[in-house]
Amino acid sequence: MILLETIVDGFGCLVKQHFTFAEGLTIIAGPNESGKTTLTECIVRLLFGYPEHQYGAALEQRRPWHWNRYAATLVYRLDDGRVLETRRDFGQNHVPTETYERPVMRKIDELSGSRKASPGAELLHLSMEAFAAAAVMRAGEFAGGTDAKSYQALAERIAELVGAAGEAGAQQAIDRLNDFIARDLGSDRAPKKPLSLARAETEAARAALKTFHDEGARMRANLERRAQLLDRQSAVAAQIDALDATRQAMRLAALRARIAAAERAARQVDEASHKRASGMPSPEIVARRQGIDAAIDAWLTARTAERDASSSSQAKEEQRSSLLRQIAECDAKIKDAESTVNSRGEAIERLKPEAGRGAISDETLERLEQLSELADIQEHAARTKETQTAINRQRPRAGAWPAVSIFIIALIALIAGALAHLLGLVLAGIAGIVASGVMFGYLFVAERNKAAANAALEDEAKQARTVASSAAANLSKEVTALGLSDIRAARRAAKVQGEIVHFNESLESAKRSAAQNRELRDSLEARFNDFSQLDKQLVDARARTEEAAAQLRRLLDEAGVPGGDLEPRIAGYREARLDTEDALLADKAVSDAKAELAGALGGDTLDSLKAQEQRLAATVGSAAASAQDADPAALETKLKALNDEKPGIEGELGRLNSELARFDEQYRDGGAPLEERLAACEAEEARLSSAREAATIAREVIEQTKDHVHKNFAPHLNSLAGPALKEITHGRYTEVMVDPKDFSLQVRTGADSGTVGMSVLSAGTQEQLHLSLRAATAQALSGDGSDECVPLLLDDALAHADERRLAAAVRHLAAIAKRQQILLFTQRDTVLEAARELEDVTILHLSGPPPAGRT
Amino acid sequence: MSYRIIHIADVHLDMAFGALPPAQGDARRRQLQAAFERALALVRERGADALCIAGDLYEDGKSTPDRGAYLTRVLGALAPARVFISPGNHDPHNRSSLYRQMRLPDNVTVFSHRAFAPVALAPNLTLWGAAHEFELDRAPMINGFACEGAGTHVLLFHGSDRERLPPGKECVAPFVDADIVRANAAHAMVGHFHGMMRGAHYAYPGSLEPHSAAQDGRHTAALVTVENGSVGVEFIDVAHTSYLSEDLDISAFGDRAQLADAVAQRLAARVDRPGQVFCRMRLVGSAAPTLDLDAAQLQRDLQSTYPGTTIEDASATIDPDEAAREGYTVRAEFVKEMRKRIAAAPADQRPQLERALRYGLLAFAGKHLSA
Repeated sequence: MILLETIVDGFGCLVKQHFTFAEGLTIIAGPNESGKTTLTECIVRLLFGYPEHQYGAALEQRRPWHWNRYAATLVYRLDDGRVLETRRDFGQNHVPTETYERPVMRKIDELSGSRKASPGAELLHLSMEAFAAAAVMRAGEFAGGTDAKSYQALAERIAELVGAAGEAGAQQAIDRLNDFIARDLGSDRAPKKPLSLARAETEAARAALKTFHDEGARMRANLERRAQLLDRQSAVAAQIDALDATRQAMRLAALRARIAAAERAARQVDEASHKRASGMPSPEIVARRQGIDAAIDAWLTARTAERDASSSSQAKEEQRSSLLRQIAECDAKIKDAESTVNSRGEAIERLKPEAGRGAISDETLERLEQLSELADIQEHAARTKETQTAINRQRPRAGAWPAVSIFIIALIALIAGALAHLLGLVLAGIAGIVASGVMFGYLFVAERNKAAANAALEDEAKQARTVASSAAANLSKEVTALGLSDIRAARRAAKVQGEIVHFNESLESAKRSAAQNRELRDSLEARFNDFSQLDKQLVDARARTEEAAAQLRRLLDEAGVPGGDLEPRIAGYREARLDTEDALLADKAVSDAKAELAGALGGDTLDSLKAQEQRLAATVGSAAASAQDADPAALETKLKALNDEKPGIEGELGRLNSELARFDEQYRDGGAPLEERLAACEAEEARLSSAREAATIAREVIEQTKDHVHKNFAPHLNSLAGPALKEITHGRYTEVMVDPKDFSLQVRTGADSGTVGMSVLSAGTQEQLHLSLRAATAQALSGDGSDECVPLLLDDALAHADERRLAAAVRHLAAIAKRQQILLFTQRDTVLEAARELEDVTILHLSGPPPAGRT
Repeated sequence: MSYRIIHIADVHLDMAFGALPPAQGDARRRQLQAAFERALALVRERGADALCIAGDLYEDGKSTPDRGAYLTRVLGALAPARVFISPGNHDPHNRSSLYRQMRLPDNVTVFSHRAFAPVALAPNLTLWGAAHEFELDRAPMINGFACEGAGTHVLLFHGSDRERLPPGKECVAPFVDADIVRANAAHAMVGHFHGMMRGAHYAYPGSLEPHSAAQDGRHTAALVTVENGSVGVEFIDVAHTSYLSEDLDISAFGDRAQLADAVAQRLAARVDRPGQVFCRMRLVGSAAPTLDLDAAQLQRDLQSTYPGTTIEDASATIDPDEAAREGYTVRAEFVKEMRKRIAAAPADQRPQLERALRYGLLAFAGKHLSA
């Protein structure tokens, strides 16, 4: 896009002004307040209108001070050659806008409308803010510094432009989100941060609500229990009342019984008093009655004993004789028994040596007999063998002499025959020699056999002897173990042991008999001695009887009982005493009746008891019937049990009521506040969690987008700035490396060389490179789908540039302007001077606002 | 001779107001109790013979024995007027029911079974009541039941007219108007819907107070008059609280203080009874670039003067469309990428992505980021 003309009817301080711009660099010079910035804004508003919601102030701000027309027109040529004209009437609130295509003046509806119609946005694909940030450069952007801060400022500015059309770089946005996440939200790993705190609060609220529910369930159980206890309490009270009523009824019955007893006793008193009046007791008899009675008893007892003793003594003679006889018999038996014991004992002692050491049972004896028989058999066999051996040994050798004789004879015969030339004799001699030889051979063999047989027989004899010895040894060992010498001794010992057993039995029997007879004799002796005692007892009894009689006589005399013998005197005494006792009984009856009456009244009067009865009868009512069959002990037991139960019920009721009161106090407002607290905590936690998640998503997408956009941007900047740098440095530096991460800058001297920082560049080179990069950024920002060149508006952008480098900067701007239109607003003469030396640079002058009243 | 009944329902004593802090929740609960006591006062004022409560008198699990004692006292004080209660889904007659723990006064009858049980109110007038025995009883309420005996029959229960179910309302114990007629009843006193509603043969008085902004409609106690077999119903408004919604365009305000003043002025104009009128204010429009909005703080600041006020930020910090068209910037590409993700996301994930878009734009604009 090339801005061709701006026709200002009225805009701020600009009134009826017409500006024609060059296609390359246009210098618009003017002093302060001449309208440079106003013209810049006019161009921006003509291109973009008033898209912001609150546009009123901005619109009003540029209303001409002294002019009634508030409108402007912008003529511009697109890169495709079309020339468009946009007119805006700023004087109306909705800023009617019309865009026409020259020269046919065909209205372009999509670029016309009202304040929001935006040819700049439609054609350049930039928002007004983005254009203002990227394509409009203002004073201060080129301070001319060559330090690291300057490079960083450039990188940051580019980052801001690329990030958000100048508002903030993408990294700034990411950093803000990170701060927000870390500081304002936190995470599970940050315990003191809001999210963790919110979760902790939620857990606490949840726990509190659960506690309330648990406590509530417990309280409901308590209420059920309390209802049961109250019912039980009522039941216990009712039972106590019923039992009490029964007890009252029983008391009424008892009271009535007392009253009846008292009335009865009163009657008895009357009767007894009446009887008492008829008889008087004898004081002497009364005073001595007990003593006389005791003396009579004593005398009677003594007399009875005397009689018993007397009768016992007579019967005793016969018994005594019998006892003596029995005692003698016992003595004899004892003597016999002792004799038997002695004889049997001696016999046993005599037999003991033969009895051996151990008991010999029948089985033992049989075994010994078997061993003995076996030993005998073995012995016999051994002897037989030995005898045979001896016989064989003594048997002369058989048949040697015959053979010898024959041999000699044969030899003689032979010799003789030989001498005699007697063949027959010779033959006979030979035959005889042969026969003797045969006989010698036979004898040899027979002797050898015999020797062998003898040897075998001897071996057998030895073996038999060994066996016999072994059997004998076994037998000897067995009998020796029993303390005996041999089998005969064993037989003898067995027999003796049997006899000893028999004698022992007899001895024991005799001992028992002796003991029994001794016991019997002792008892008989004791009984015999008793008879002696009886005699003594009779004498004693007579003495006691006399003594008792004397005592009795004395007492009777003192009592005034006449008479001689004791028995009639006793009868007389008893008669007198009966009379006295009757009188006493009467007295006692009166006393008893009075006592009974007093007992029945119990301190009350009969009238008062009757009054109590009436009162009690009024309260008892129907319970009186149940009292008849009531068991007082059972009733008291029941009452006690019920009364014992009451404290327990009351105690538990008290505890339950305390718990319920405590629960009500603790949860006065119920569970709703706890639920609200939990809901609030959960909502807060969800809010923070959701915010964290959303912020994290935003951060991640911005990071991804930043990488993508920066990576697209950097090469673009490199491709635009590289040639510029090469041109500025006359080929010394050929390439600009813009780091897509943060847009920091490096330069390269050649394709194969390394990169160096911007500090190697001169200040002027850096300034020029800065301008190129800004221009390239503005162009790159125009986005996909737009091929239009973005015109640049430098509003006093070189105001602070170094004087020495200003001309070079202007020249560089002119070079840039060959690709991208630049309108440079300036108040510096140096810029004008530099511009005048260049070709294809248009210089315009702003004269400033017209004086007031000149319209 | 006529028989007069005050019919109420859905008192919800001790309910939790989840969106409110506990202090405000307590205040709202006191308002519910006050409304309940106004309804009880109506029994005397109108000379009613009985009070019928069609369920949800209290909230099971939140009420304490203290509430039981309170109900025993206040309901007992209505004697000689009788009180009939049909427990609903929030106060079912289960093991832990407060009704089982209370010592009911002699004039109070609590229906305890799902099956309708009769109570003679007057000669030739019978009340049939039924109880929910557990939460969320979805079995049909009246199916197969018919009133027995001569005279006029009225029903008392907690249920849902399934042909007129309000949006978002749980359908418990469903019925239709025709069921009442089939049951040989002249009228049904019903509870569960919180807005007053009248059917041909039934009436919902509604809750005594609205519980949220969604519960618009009237909140009444119904005076039911039965005379000579005919039933008349008069609805008496008892609510003292109300909810309202307001939208405020924030485009004109450049700073928080200015916005806060504007909000306060709007509230002053619309909320004539702070603490009884609860405003939900939506902030709409595009925020000025200089406005750093913190809706949560704004809401907190207003609670002391206008308790229960909620501030919802529905404004646009920066027009995403503008950002998308600003040029080839990271922000523009971020907006395009987020919009792509939002369009492709399931409906339940979109709000979170919208929020991420908003956070990104706030971060680029250097504005306050708030959860």
